[in-house]
Amino acid sequence: MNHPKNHKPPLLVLAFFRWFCHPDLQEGIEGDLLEQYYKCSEQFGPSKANMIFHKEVFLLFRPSIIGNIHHLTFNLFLDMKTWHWIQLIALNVLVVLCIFLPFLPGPYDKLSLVISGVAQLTGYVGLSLVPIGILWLIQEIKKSAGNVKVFTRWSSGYYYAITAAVICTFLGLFFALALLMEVGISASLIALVFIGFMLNRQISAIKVLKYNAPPTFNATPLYLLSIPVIAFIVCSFLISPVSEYSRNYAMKQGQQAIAAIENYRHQTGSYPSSIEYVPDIPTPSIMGTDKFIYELNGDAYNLAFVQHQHLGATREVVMYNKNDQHNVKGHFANYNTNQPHWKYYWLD
Amino acid sequence: MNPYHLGEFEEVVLLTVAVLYTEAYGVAIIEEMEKRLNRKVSIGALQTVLRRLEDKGMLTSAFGEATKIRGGKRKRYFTVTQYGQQVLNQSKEQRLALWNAIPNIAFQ
Repeated sequence: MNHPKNHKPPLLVLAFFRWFCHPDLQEGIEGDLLEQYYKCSEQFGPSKANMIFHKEVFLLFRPSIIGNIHHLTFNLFLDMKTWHWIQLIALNVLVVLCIFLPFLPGPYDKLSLVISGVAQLTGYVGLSLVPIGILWLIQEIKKSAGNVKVFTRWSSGYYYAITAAVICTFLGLFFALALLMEVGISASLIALVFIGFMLNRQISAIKVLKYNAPPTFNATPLYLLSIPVIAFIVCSFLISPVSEYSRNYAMKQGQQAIAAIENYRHQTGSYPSSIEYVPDIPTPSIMGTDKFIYELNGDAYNLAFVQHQHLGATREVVMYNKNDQHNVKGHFANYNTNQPHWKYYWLD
Repeated sequence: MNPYHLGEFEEVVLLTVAVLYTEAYGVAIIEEMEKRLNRKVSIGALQTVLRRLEDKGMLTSAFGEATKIRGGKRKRYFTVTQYGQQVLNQSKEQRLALWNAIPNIAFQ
C-alpha cells in the first residue's frame, strides 16, 4: 500500500502519544497507529481517519501503556539535587514575601514598595518566561529520557538560556531604575553591580551550553516556570486579602490616634490644627504605609493613611471621619470598611 | 482453582494470534477479529491484553520488518507459546466438557 502523500496524522496527538507511551512499546504501537490511520484515510477520507486517530490515542492512555509517565516525571524530579529543590522553594517563597512586604506589620520602609512593585512585575512580565521554560523543560525531559540523539543549540538549552537572560536583565534594569527614582543613586548602583555580577555568572553558564549539552538534568526551566506563575497567582488572587489585613491592622492603630485626638479636644476644647500638637500618636506600623495624615474638616477632622495595591500603581486612601463627611478627590472607587466611620478609596 | 484461567477477551485474542500464525501483529489481529467475530477492538484494548498475555507467558513477541505505511516503524509479531497452547487446550476441554454435560432435553 502506498503512503498517502497528502494525509498526515495529527502531529500534536502523535507527539502526545510519543510523550506518554513507554519507550519499549512505542515503536510497535506507533506503527500500528500509523498503518491504521493510512488505511482509514484511504477508506473513509482524512477527516474520519483523524477522528479515529484521536480516539485510538486517547484509548491508549492507560496505565499498562503509559509507564513512561513515571519515568518522565517522578524519576526526573527525584534525580534533581536536594540543593535545587531547596533553592527553588526558597526563591518562590522569597518572591511571595517580597510581594507582600508593604502589607506586613513593621516600621515604614520605602524600599518595600519598590521591591514589591518589581516582584509583582515579575508576575506579569515574567509570564513571557513561561513558554521558554516549558519548551526548555521538554528538551530536558527528552534528554533525560535519552530521546535526544543529535546535539543542537536548542536541545542543549542554549537559545532558551539567552532569551531568558535577556528578559531577566530587562527586569533587573527596571529594578535599578525604580531604585534610582524611589530610593537614590547609591541603591541603584548597588543593584546594577549585583545585576552585572549575576549576568557575568549567567554568561559563563550559557557559554557551556553553546558547545555541549550537560548530561545531567538542568533545573533552570523549573525556575523560569514556577517563579512567574506563582508571582502571577499571588498578585491576582492574594493581594486583596493581604491588603485587607494590613488595612485592618493600620485602622486598629488609627483607633489609638483617634483616642489621643479626642483626649486633646477634651483637654483644650477644640481639635488640633495639626497632628503634631497631639502627643502619643502611633504610626500605622505597616511597612508600606508612612504615617497618619490629619486635617480639620468642618467641626470634625479626617484621619487617613495611604497604602499601595497592584504594582504600586493603585493608591488606596483609608479615611476616618466621625461625621461620615469623607472627602477624597480623584478616586475611581470607594468602599466601606468593617469599622464605623472608616472608608477606603482607590486612586490611579 | 483452575491455574489456566483466561478472560473471554484474552481467550479471543490468544486464539486470533494462533489463527494468524506468523502474521499476528497489532493491526492484523484487529482486522482478523473484526472479520471473523464482527467485533471492533481499539488498539489500546488490544495492546493491554497482548501485554498481559505476554507477562503471563502465553505469548512471545519479536520485531519484524519496517514498512513505509507504518512510518518506518517495525511490526511487533506475536506467537503463542507452549504454555499458551496448554491454556487454550485446557479452556477448550472445559467448554467441551460443559457442552457435553448439557442434557439433550435442555436445548430442544
